[in-house]
Amino acid sequence: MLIRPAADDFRTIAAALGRILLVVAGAALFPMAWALLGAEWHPLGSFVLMAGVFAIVGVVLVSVSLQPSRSISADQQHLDWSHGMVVVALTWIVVPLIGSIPLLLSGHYANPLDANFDAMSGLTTTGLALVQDLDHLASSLNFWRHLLHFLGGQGIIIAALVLFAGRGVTTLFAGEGRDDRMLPSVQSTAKAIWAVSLLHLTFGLITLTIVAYAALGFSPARSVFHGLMIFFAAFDTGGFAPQSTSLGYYHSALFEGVTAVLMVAGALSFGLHFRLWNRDARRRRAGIGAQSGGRDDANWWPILRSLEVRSILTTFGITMVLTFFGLAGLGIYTSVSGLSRQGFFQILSAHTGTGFATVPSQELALWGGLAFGGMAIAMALGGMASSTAGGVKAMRVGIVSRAIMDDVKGDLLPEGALVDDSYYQFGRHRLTSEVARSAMIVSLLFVGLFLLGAGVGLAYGVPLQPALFESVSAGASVGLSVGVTSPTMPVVLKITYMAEMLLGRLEFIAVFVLIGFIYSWVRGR
Amino acid sequence: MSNDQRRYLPAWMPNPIDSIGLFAVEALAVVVMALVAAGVAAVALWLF
Repeated sequence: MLIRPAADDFRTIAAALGRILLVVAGAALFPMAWALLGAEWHPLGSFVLMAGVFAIVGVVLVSVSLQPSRSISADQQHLDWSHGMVVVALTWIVVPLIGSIPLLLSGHYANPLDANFDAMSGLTTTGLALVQDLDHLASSLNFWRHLLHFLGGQGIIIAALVLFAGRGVTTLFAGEGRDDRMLPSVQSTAKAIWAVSLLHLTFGLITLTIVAYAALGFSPARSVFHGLMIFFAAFDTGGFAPQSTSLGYYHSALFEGVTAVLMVAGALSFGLHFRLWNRDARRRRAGIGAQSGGRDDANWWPILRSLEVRSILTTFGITMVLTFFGLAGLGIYTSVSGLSRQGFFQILSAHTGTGFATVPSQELALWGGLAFGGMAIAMALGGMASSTAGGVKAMRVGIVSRAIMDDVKGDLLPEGALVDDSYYQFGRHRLTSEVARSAMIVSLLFVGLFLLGAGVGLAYGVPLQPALFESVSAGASVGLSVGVTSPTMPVVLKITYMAEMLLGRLEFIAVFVLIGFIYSWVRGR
Repeated sequence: MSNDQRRYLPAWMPNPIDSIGLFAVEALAVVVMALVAAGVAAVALWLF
């Protein structure tokens, strides 16, 4: 029997959601300041409106949560698992809705759905875009689009967790598909994630700005603007760019190289960043290495032997070979420098889930056969767990592969022989049936999502290859396009891709719980 | 240690040299991958 949610459930959800929206209202001050400094008055007005709506909705929700007994503070309300999941799913639906207001008012979008599509694409760090005449979009609006990448990549919830605490906040953390508890509390972990991001912001912005100024000849202000926009999109594996030709606009191998470093950094888990950065963790790593037979003189062995790192290096190698051999067979690139530069950047962009392109979508559409297979698989697999990347994730790929290998080993060995069912991920872990099952379920859901999206594309007359490519790109939060995504595509296809972005980004569970919550409300007793 | 005490623990004190090292390691990884990519590209073009 389904139990209808009680008024207290709604109050608890409203309290958490309201406070998160107030945090986002605070984040909206940044584009407002940008517009003010740039004397972009029309965008400034739309940012004020957006921040006002965020603040009003936030205040109303928090106020509602305090009724009817004002003696119960929001902090004392317990956020259980289902509440947390519902809050996360609602946050990721409401923020793009309100966040699309300045985009819609800019006049660069044909309708509210297109503006909401871009806001959802920005927040989920996908990078598919329906904006028109991007090259003439106001800089503050471009800043807001890229800031959405940063908010989504770091996790709105992570931002909110730094500012408020309460019982049950762990469920919010898990709801965004994060399971990497680096420090004793969720709050200190959230702070560590922001510290890693701010470190990369400092290095990335300085390096990109210097390259843009010195190598591309941009003015100082323009160098900072492009450096900041590309940093947001690269480190958060988003894929928006301030120019319609994406990274191809810069025509610079050096600029692409620095961007590639940030893309790789974005696809690494925050836990791995933390281990690389944190001196104490490095000492512990050395200790683990000494226990494993002294193979860890350089402290790198525990990282290189971890299942997740091995998994992502293996899949990156395989998909790169597939793509390069496919491209060589097609004869699109005839020199080593041309093939390695274009092929490497595109496969890196696909596997990290960034979505930057250095070739036009019309040219990417010509990448058929093995090259298409390599790119599609790379996009689907994605980066590491608890990173800003989307897709199935390297940890799950490693676990599923390991489970299959263990089964095959078990069949080959004599009856009664024991198979070592442990794997190394900064310590030995048992590969239990439950762990394997969980990884397989999410992997299968991703495959189903990709096929469903491709099916909708096929129904609207899109050929199989581009339909599958675009669906995988949306579902795995990548953003590479072969030309299907455009303002003229059918409304149903736009909604399908938006749903894919949301489901893929939140890794299904939070959205499923929200649907179950609504169903219980309607049909429960 | 109570949950409240844990909540207010400092994250950690990052060291500037470690910070530069982190970025350098990531840059080195991309350089190595790019060199491998050039090798694969050469083999692919030779085969086809």
